[in-house]
Amino acid sequence: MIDKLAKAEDPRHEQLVDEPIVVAYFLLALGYLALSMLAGLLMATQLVHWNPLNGIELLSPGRWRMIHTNVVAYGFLANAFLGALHWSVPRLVLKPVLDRRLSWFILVAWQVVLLCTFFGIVFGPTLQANIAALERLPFSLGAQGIEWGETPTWIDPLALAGLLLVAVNFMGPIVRTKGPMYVSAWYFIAAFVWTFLTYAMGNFLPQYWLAGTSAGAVGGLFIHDLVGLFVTPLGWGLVYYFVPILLQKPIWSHGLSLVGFWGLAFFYPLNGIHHFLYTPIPMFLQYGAIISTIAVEMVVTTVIVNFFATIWGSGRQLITNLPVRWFYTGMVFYGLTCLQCAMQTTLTFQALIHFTDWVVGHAHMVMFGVFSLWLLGIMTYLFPRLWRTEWYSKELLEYHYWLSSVGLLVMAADLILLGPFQGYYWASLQPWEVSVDGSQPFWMLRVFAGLAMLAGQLCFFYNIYMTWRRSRAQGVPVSTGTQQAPPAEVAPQA
Amino acid sequence: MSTQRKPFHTRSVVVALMALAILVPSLYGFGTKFLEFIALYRGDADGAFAISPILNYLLASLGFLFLFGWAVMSGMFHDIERPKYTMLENEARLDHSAPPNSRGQFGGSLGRRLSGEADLPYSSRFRDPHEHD
Ligand code: HEM
Repeated sequence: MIDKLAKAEDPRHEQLVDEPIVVAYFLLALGYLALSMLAGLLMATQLVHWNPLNGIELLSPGRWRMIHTNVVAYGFLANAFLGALHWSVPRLVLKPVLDRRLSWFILVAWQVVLLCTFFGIVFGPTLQANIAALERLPFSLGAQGIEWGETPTWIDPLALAGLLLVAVNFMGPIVRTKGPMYVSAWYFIAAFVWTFLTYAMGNFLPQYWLAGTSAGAVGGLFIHDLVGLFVTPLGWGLVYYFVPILLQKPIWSHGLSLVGFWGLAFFYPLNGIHHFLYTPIPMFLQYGAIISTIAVEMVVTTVIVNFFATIWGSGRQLITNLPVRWFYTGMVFYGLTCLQCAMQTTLTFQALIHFTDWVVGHAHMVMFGVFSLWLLGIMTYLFPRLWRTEWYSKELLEYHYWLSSVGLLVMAADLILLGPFQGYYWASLQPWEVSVDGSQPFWMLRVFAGLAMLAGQLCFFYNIYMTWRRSRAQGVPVSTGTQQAPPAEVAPQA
Repeated sequence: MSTQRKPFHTRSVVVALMALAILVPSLYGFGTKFLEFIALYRGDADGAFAISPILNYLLASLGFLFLFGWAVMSGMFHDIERPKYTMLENEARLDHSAPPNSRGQFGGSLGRRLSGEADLPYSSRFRDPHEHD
C-alpha cells in the first residue's frame, strides 16, 4: 500500500536528514544536562550546609547557580531542540536544511558561545581581579547582570549571529514549501523570529540603552519571552509533530491547534512584567501584564484539550509506548504549571509567594517537567531510529522515566509547598534566619530528589552508550542528508 | 448518513465554541488594556514607561499580523484539517524509504515496531472516515 502511494520523485529520508548532526546535538545536550544538574546539586547542598567544596572560589555556588540555569537553557534545551529540529524540519517540509555545512558551523559556533559563557561566569571575575591588563578592560569578563542573560556581554553579538544563522538555515526550506502548512511549521517559523528578537531585546536594551525600572521592565519581558517565545513554540511545534506520528493518529483538531498558535503570537509578548508585580514598575504596566497572562492562559487550554482529545481511545499507549508516556507526562505537568500561573498572576497570591521557593518549584516543573521531558521523549524515540537498533535495555529506559518524573514531582511539590511557608514566615516579620531554618527539611528533600533525577539520567547515558555499541556491531548505514536518490529500480514504485 | 457525519459536526462546533470563548474575551481584555497604554503614553506624566512594552509588542506581533493576513489571503486555512493528514502521509513514505542496517533490519518502520504497532496501510490508518477533506 505504501509502495503504491510513494512516488519515485519523493525525497527520501537519507536525502533530507543529516543523522550525525542530530546525534551530535543530542549527545552534547545530554552532557550539558549532566553538568547543569551537578551545578544544581552544588547549590542545593550549599543551602543545607552540606557543600563538600565550600571555600573554593572557582566552585562558589553563586557562580555555579548561574552555570546551572544558563547551561540548562542554552546548553541542554537549545542543543536538544536543534537536534530535534534537524530531524523534524526536513521531514516535515520534505526539503533539507539550507546548507549542511552551515549546520555544522552553527553547531561548533554554538558550543564556542557556551564554552565562553561557562568560562566567563566561572573564571571571568577571578581573572579580571588578578590580571592588571584585564582589569583595565572597559567591560566585564564575567556574567552580564541580567537574569537569564548572564552570557557575558562580549559573547552576546556572536550568540545573536548564531541565532540568525539558525533562523536562516531552517527558514530556507520552510518558506519554500507550497500549500497549507502544518501547525508545527508555524510554530517553528515563530520560534526562529522570536528567539532572535528576544535575545537582542533582553541582552542589548537594558545593557546599552535603558536604565532603572524601564530596564527592569524589559528584563521581565526577556525572562518570560525566553520561555514563551523560544522554548514554548519549539516545544509545542515538536510535540505537534511527534505525538501524531507516535500515536499513528492525526491531531484531534488542526483548526484548534492554529487557534492556539495565533493566540500565542498575539497575546504572549506583553506577559513578562508579571514577574515584577509589586515592584516600582508603574501599576498600569503590571495590570497590563496580568490581563495578557489571563489571555494566554485561555489560549494554552486549546493545546491541552487538543492533545488529550487526540489520545482519547488510545490510552493503552501510555503504558506500552514509552515516548508517548514521556510526552503526556510532560503535558500533565504543563497543565499543572498553567494552573500555577493562573494563581501566580493574581496580586493577592503574589504578595505571598513572591521571592519564595514556590517560584523555583514552578521553574523546575516548567523547564524539566515539561520541556525536558518532551525532549527526553524525543530522544527515547529517535536514538534507536538513528542507530537502527533497539534499545540495549528497556528496563533502564523505565528507570530513566520513573526516576526523572518522580524525582521532578517530589522536587517541585516540595518547593511549591515550601513557598507559602516562607511567605508566611516573612509576613510574620520574624528574623530572616527563622525562615531559613524552617526551609531546611524541604531543601534536604530537594537534594535527594535531585539525586534521583541525576540517577535517572545516568541510566539513560549508560543505555545510550550500550545501544551505540550494539549498533556498531550491527554496522549501521548513516544518513547524512546529502545522499542521492537510489537508482529508479530500487526506488519505491510510483 | 447523518449519523456518519455527526462526529465532524461535533468537532467543528466544539472548536468554533472554544475559539470564540477564548478569543473574544482575550481580545477584549487585551485590546482595551493596549489602548489604555497608548492613551497613557499620550497623556500621563508617567506615560513614557508605556512606550517600551508597546514597542516590544509591536515589534514582536506586527510582523505576525501581516503574516496572518497573508496566510488568510493565500488560502492557508482553506482546508484547515488537511495538513494533519499530509504530514502523516509524508512521514509514512519517508519511513518506508529509510535505510535498514546491514542485516536488513530496522528500516523506516522501526519506530512503529518499537512501539508494538503493526505496520498497517497508512492511508486507512490516518483518515478519519467521518471527516471531509
Ligand atoms: C539535580 C537536579 C537539580 C537540582 C538539585 C537543582 C537545584 C536548583 C537550585 C538549588 C536552584 C537555585 C534555587 C535558589 O536560588 O533558591 C535551582 C534553580 C533553577 N533550576 Fe535547578 N536543579 C536541578 C535540575 C534542574 C533542571 C534539570 C532544570 C531544567 C531543565 C532546572 C532549572 C532550574 C531553573 C530554571 C532555576 C531558576 C529558578 C528561579 O530562578 O526561579 N534545574 N535549581
